[in-house]
Amino acid sequence: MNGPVTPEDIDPIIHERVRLAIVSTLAVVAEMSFNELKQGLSLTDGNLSVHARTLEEAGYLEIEKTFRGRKPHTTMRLTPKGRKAFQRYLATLQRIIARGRKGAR
Amino acid sequence: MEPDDALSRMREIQRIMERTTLCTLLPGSPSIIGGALAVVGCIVNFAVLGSLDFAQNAALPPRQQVALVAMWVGIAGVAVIQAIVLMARLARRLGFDPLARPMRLALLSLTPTLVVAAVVTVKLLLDVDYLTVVRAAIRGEALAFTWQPGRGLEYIVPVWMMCYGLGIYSAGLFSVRAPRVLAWAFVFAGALGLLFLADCGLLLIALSFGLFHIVFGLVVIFKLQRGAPA
Repeated sequence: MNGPVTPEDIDPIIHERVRLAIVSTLAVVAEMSFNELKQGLSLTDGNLSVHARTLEEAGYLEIEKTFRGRKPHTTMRLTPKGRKAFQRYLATLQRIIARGRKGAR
Repeated sequence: MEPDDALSRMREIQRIMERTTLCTLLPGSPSIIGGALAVVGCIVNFAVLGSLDFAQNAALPPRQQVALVAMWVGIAGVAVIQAIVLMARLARRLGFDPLARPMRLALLSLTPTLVVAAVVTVKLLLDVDYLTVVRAAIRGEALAFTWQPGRGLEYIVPVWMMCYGLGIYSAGLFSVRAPRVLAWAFVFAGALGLLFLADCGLLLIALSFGLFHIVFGLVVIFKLQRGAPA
């Protein structure tokens, strides 16, 4: 993993800013409700839904829909695959930063 | 991707994770310990007083009053210190600075309501002409007066509950919904206590600072933090 970073090393699913914010948030909690995530990241319903679906389709996110009384309640959590992908993404960023520091010397 | 862009992304990720960490930094076990201490305090206070009316403490002999004040200050001190220590330890375990900006904001947001609670407490405990006291202090004159509990001393507990609830609500704005639910529970219970149960202060303390905290701690541990990365 010490070689040069190629564009293929950067996970396009996580790289998108909103999805990166979603994954970064869910990386430090067990789970979070749709509304908490929406408010925490100042997103609209539609925006969060679209990006959450992309993450779910990639197998990075698990979306659980239940009912609290009569109200629908959506909970989101990162899957182990999602956590690994996030760690890989962080490692890639660190390699790019390290490469930049070497080049600056 | 350029190194500068990577660095900026890394900072953004760190900021988001620090902010979100407040979710997992909800005080689970500190709440349970604090709640249990409050319940124990109420039981001891009730054993000494023989009444649920917190304001009746003012009618106890001075030695018992001092002992009870020392007990409550001690309980409050231990509850606060253990909460700070345990939360700082949890933050470090998660790899974050316990004094990161979100934590500081949460603590700062608690401050105004604590100040209000302190001022109201002083006024309810000591009903003197404060203007005379200030004038005497400015002139350097000695001021002698005997302690007279203020009118409405029985409202002290509901006022604490409501102020504490407002403080938690403000601090909870930086977190998930659970602390705000706890905050509303304190505010509602405080309001009901103020209107209907002001003469049952010890019961109110046991219910709110005791039971509410214990239930909140259990919810945090068994529901919110279950499976969280440690």
